[in-house]
Amino acid sequence: MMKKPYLSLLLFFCLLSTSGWTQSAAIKPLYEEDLSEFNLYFYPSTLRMLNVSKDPAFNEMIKDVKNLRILIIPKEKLEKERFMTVKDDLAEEQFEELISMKSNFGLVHLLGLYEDDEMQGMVALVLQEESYIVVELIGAFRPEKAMEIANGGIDLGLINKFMGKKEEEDAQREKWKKIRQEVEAQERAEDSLKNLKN
Amino acid sequence: MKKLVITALALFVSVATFAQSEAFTKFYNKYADNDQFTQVTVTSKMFSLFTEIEGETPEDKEVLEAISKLKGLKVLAADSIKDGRKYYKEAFAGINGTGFEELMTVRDGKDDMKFMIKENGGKISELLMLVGGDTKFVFISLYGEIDLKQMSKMSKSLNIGGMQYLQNLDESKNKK
Repeated sequence: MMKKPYLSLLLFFCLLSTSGWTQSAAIKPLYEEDLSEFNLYFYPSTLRMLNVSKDPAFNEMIKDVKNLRILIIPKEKLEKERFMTVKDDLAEEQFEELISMKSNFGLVHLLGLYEDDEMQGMVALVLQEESYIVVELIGAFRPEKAMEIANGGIDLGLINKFMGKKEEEDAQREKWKKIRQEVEAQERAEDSLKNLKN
Repeated sequence: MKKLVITALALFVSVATFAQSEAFTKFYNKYADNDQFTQVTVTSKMFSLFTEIEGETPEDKEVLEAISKLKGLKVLAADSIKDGRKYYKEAFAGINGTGFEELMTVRDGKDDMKFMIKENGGKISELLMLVGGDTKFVFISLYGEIDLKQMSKMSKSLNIGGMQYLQNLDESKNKK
């Protein structure tokens, strides 16, 4: 099955693959209407600051990124139907769906914009229980560096901690599951031993 | 006009060749709104991104080329579901008799795993992976032009657990 932390990383790296694209007309109104409770704007310099391990591959990958925007909108400020139309509006702007995912994390749509087979931009729309997240990136990146990082792993400080939390919980759950299975096996063995004695 | 008809026909055939099987789609759609399941869809455009990457070694290049020929991936999975085997049986019953050939069956601990393929014109056009356990269920459909020789290596790049078992396939199957 898909490993979720890796998907998050994939999503992050995929978002770093735009070139020469200005902000989407479908997303612009969400900024203009001041709906957000959390609004992040990364310049290349601030993106490089995320690379706490100073991995040269990361800096190489983002060297042509112009900016990365993250917008979080609380659900009470925007109707679900309206948020879902953003995807249709992006499709009208010739964005193509790359990945869609529905899990307990929420619903994620990743869309890319192309011109002559050259990627021009990417947008991720995330629908969570309490909020909507819109991530868009303007600029360009080197996909082979993203692959290198995705395969080798990278220390992105707080982002890693945030992404790793779920992994730790899963590992803990798996550990307890194993213990339960061992106890059950032991009980079964004891039962069959008792039956033999009887 | 004749050229147009031939082109349209060729396009139709190529789409039909790489379309996802109805058996999988039917099952996928049935549980699409069920919150117990995780669903993932990867489109051909996403796979085509791999063509932009230049592999460093000849082996990397082969894997990237194989990935770029894929047309889509759909996953329906649940890791803490009641009676995963029930869904496993239901999914398998749906596939039975729809032209899929069983490639391999694996018992991994308490989980059963099946790999099935569909061939079109001597090429593998769809690979299904089905996993069922006490609390686990996974159903994956990978379609496009599939090179089994690259699948186990590909699964590392795609991060699909379980597909590593494909490396156990004998050489004769790999040559398909």
